Amino acid sequence: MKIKAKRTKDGFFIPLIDQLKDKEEIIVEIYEEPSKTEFVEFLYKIYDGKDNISKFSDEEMLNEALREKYGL
Amino acid sequence: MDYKILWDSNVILDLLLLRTKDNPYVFEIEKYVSDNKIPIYISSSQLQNIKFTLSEHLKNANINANVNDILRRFVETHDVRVLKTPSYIDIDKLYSDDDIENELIRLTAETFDLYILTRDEKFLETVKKKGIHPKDFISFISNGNEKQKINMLDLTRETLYIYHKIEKNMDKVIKESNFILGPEVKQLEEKTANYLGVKHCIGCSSGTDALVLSLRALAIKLKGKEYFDKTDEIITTPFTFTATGDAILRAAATPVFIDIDLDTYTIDTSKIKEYLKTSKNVVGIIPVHLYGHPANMDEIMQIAKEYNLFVIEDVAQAFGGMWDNKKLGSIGTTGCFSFFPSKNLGGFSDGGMVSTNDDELAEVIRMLIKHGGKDKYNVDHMGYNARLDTLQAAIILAKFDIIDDFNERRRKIAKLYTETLKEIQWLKTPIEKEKAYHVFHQYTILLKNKNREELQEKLKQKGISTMIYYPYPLHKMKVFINNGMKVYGDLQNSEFAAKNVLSLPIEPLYDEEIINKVLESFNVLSER
Repeated sequence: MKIKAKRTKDGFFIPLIDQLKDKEEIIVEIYEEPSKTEFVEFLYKIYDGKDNISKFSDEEMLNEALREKYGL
Repeated sequence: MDYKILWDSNVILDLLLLRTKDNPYVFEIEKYVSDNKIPIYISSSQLQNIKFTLSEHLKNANINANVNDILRRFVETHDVRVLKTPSYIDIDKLYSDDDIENELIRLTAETFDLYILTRDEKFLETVKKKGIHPKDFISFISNGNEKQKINMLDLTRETLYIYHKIEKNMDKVIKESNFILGPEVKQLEEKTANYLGVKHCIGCSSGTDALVLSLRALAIKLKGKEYFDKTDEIITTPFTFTATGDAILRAAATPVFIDIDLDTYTIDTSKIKEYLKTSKNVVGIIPVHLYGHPANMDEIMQIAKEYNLFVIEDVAQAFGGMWDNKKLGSIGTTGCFSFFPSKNLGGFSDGGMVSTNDDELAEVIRMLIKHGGKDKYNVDHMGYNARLDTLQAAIILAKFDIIDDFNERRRKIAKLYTETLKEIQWLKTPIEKEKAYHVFHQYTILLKNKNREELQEKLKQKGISTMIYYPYPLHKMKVFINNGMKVYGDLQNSEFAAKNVLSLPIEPLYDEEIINKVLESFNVLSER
C-alpha cells in the first residue's frame, strides 16, 4: 500500500485512511530514487525532461512500422 | 565478480526510452552496472531490432533526436559487448509458434552460460533458472557475490573479454581453410619476434616441444649428430614442470639437477658455478623463469660465456617478463614458450614457440617441426610433426594485443596480495628482484610451519581454489631416476619448496573485491 505523506511543520502527515483505522503502529519504509547516471541525464535532456515518452509497446511499434514499410 | 548477463531488447529499450512505468527498476539497474563496470552482453541479432524499434518510438512520440547519437552514447558510457548469434538454431523454429528472436537470444546466452535479463514473462518461463526479471536483478547480484567460487583462473571470462577479436580471426581461418602453417602462424612468429626483439621465432606444437626442438637443433649444430650423447650434461632445476627435465632425456643427454634459491624459486647460480668446477661434461643450461619471475640472467650468461655453454630459457610461464629491461626469451641461445590455455598468453589448445637470434638453429628447427626436412618428401633429420596449428595462431594473435595489460593486471593483484599477506608470520610472500619484471603466472606463497593440506581444505570450504606447483621435485621421479640423471648437492631448497608452496588464484580479470575475499579468509585463518 502506498500513501502520500505531506510535509508539515513537525514532520510528515499521514492521513488516517480506512486501512489504518485499527492500527496502533505502522512501519514506514523510505524509498529513495537512485541518483541518475550521466547517460540517463543525457536522455532526459534530449527528451525535454520527459520519461516514458512512448505510449506504445515494442510489439505495437514494430507492427505499425512494418505495416507502413510494406504497405499492409 | 562474474557477471555474465545478456540483456533482452525490452530491457535495453526500457533504458533508452526511460520507460520507468513498464520497468521501475531500470534506473537502479543501469546505475549499478555503470558504477560496477558490469558488462552488458547483447546478441548480434538484437542490434537491428533495437535500433529500428527505438527509431520508430521516437518518431511516433515526435521526439526530434538522433538515434545514432543515443546509441553511440549508450555504448560509450557502458561496457557493451556484442556476441555472435549462433547459426545452429533449429530451422524448424521458423515454422513453429516459438518466438525466434527469443530463441536466438537463448542460444547466444547458452554459448557462454550467460543469464538473460528480461521482463518477458513467457521468455522467463522458457529459460527458467537462467532468466532474471529486472525486479530481481539486485538480489541476484548480491546472492551471486555470496556464492561465488574463486578459481585459480577463469578462462571463460578471459575469452568473453575479447571474443569478438578471437571470433573474427577464427572465422578468417575457417573461411580460408589454410589449417596447416597458414599465414596466421607466420604473422604470430613475426609479431613475437618483434615483441621480443629477436631475429627468429618458430611456432611449434607445445612448450615441451619447443624445449626438445631447441635441444635437438643444438645437438645437430654443435655435435653434427641427431642427438646428444648420454655423457653430455645439461644443467637445470628440479623445481619445475616435468617437461624441462624430460626434454633433456628426449634429446638423449643427462639432466643435472641443481638447487634453487628460495627467494625466486629459480636456479641458484652459485651452485652452477660450484658444479662446473667438478664436471667437464656440461654443454648447456636450462634456466626456468618459474611462476613468471626471471632467473638471474646476468649470472647465467656470464657463466655460459666462461664455460662456452648454450642457454635455453624456459619461458613457458613468463611471456612478457623481463630481466634488466630485456624480454625473457631474447637473452639465451633460444627461448622456449608455451601457449597452453592457462598460460599468460594461451590458446585454446597446446602450442609453443622457439625464439633465437641464431640463423642456423632457426633453420634446423624449421626443418624439425616438419618431419626433418626443408622438403617434406625428402628429409634430412629425424624430425617431428610439431607445427603450430593455424587456428591456435589466430587465437593467440587476438590475445596478443592484451598481453601487456593482462600482465600488468597480474602484477596489480600480486601487489594487493603482498600488501596484506606480508604481515602474516607463517608464510613468505613472493619477491621481485631488482632487475626483474615479474609477470606472476602464479602468485605462490611459501608456508612456514603450517600444514598445507589443512590450509588448502579451509580455503576450499570458503570457495577459494589453490594449487601446488609442484608437489614433487624432478629428481624424485622414476622417469629421471630410471633414465639417468645427476644431482648436485642435497637439493634441500627444492624439496622444501615442493612441500610448502601454495599458489593462490591470480586471474587478470579478477577485481579488488575478489582478491579481498581471498585476503579476508587469510586474515580470519591467521587470527585463530
